[in-house]
Amino acid sequence: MRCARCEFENIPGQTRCIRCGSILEAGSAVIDIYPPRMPAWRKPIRAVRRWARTQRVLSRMPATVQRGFDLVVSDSLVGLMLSIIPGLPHLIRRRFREVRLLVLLWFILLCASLFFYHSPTGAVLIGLTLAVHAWIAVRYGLVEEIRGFGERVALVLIVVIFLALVYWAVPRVLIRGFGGGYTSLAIPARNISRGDYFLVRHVPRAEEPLPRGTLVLIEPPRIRNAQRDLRLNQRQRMIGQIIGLAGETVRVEGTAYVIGGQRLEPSQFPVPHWLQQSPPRAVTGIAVPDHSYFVSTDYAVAVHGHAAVTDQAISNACIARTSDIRGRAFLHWWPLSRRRFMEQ
Amino acid sequence: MEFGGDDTEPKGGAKSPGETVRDAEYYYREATKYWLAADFELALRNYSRILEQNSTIFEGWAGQVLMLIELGEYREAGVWADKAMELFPENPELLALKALACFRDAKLEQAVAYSDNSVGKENLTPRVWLTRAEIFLDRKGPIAEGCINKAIRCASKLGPIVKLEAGRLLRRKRNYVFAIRYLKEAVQDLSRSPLAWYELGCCQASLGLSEATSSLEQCVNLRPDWTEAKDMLHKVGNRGFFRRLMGK
Repeated sequence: MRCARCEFENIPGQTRCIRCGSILEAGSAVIDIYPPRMPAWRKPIRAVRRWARTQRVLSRMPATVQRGFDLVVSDSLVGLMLSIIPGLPHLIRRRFREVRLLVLLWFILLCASLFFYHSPTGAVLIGLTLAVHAWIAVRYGLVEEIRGFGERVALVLIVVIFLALVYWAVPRVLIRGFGGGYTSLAIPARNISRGDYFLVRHVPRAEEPLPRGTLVLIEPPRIRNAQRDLRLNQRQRMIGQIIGLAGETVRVEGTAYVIGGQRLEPSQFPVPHWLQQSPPRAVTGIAVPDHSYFVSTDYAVAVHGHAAVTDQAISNACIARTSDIRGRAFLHWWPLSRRRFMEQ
Repeated sequence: MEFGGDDTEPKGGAKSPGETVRDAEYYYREATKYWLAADFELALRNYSRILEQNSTIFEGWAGQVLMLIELGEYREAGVWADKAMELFPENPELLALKALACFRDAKLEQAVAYSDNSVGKENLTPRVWLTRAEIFLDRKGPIAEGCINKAIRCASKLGPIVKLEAGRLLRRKRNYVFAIRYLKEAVQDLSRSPLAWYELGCCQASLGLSEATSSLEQCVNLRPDWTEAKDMLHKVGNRGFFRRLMGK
């Protein structure tokens, strides 16, 4: 068997040339003959590193500084940045096969955590999603560059924090004013119970004024110190129902709201317990000023020194300015059995 | 077609008389042609095609590594040289190419180590000496000159290409006078090579010689689509006395 390189006649059955060591038979099917290529975006990064090596800038500096510089201008850091989309740097570098199962796992976990969002299961799942995402990002190359165990742990923590911020920001960027809140109202006609969770989005100016009955997320009124006779226990944002629009007057008669002399159906517009106990005393009711709404929400009320809640206190608690409204509920999220989009 | 070649090539069957046989030798000629035209990307593809025909052809592997170096992909060149060395272990030319990739990537210690290793082998090729010359030109000029001379001596029929390479490396080190000497000899034999004319033109331009324009024109005539050469020609044509004096 003659060697193609040195033309030495080898013994039949030899796989390598005895004289020069070259392989004697190789099919292109078993040997990859296409060289790896450098993506264009990596050129400037490598140029910086090469320049630093040529100038011997770093050789005089402490080893930690050298390692830090290497890391900053390394491909890995760019890969880490690109890893905001899991597997993207691997895809660019044609290494996607390495992480394809992890990316699939990440996607499944992401879908599951979105499905169970705002529940204990969802929290666990989003944690796992984050961990898999961080692992994909770190696997791109940083693991090889950082040797010490402590450094690796620190790196993974940094990546997890970075990605957690990304996860927090992405829905808020994609859906303006994205958020959520619990309702303290039970609205039988709309199949809504106390404690249901809603997802909300920003209310565009074009949608104003909002129609009666809309569920909105509002800031809790800050009247605790100003009005000593009414103490609210709500400290977080909550979902309320728009009852009165600007220019209307709102009265409470028993278990129903009365707007401009017209009684609203209690099953659709329920009066919260505290308002049933202490309805507005004024005969004309509570007037809703311009650019405001009368928003119905349930509060735990503690009255000090008075027999009942004053109209001023009710007005402070229920009149919400347009700027106080953080978003409009668009998805009835929890419980799962009642999950549905809200009719607009 | 992956390599942008002629799609009309018949697949199998009898070839008509006079039709070019597209074997490994053909692709080697094409690769060399593109290399001498400074179209390193196409040259690389043709070297790959050689390996498609027969993956044991050494020139295909060495050519691929060299083209990766020419394209500035030094790390990939190093990886590919390692891969080639699995098939051709301890090959001096591959070691030299690996040294060259390290040197161009500013990894001097590694480059010297690989170069030392390559000159210790038998059957040395001009590439071994050219690489050594490039590595030592900055620090040990006389050694480098000796290496270039050795490269030319052992070049045999590859003499013009080795002279071209010697001229290129001397130009890279701003040693224009010696570079011109080698490049002038190279263009006599490689008069159809845009790369040789371009290198000569650049050297002449750096020394403020008026022949630069004609050399670069020759280069552009041979390869009209070469933007770099056209830009250089434009730059040389438009510079004033002071710039010519400064070699800018």
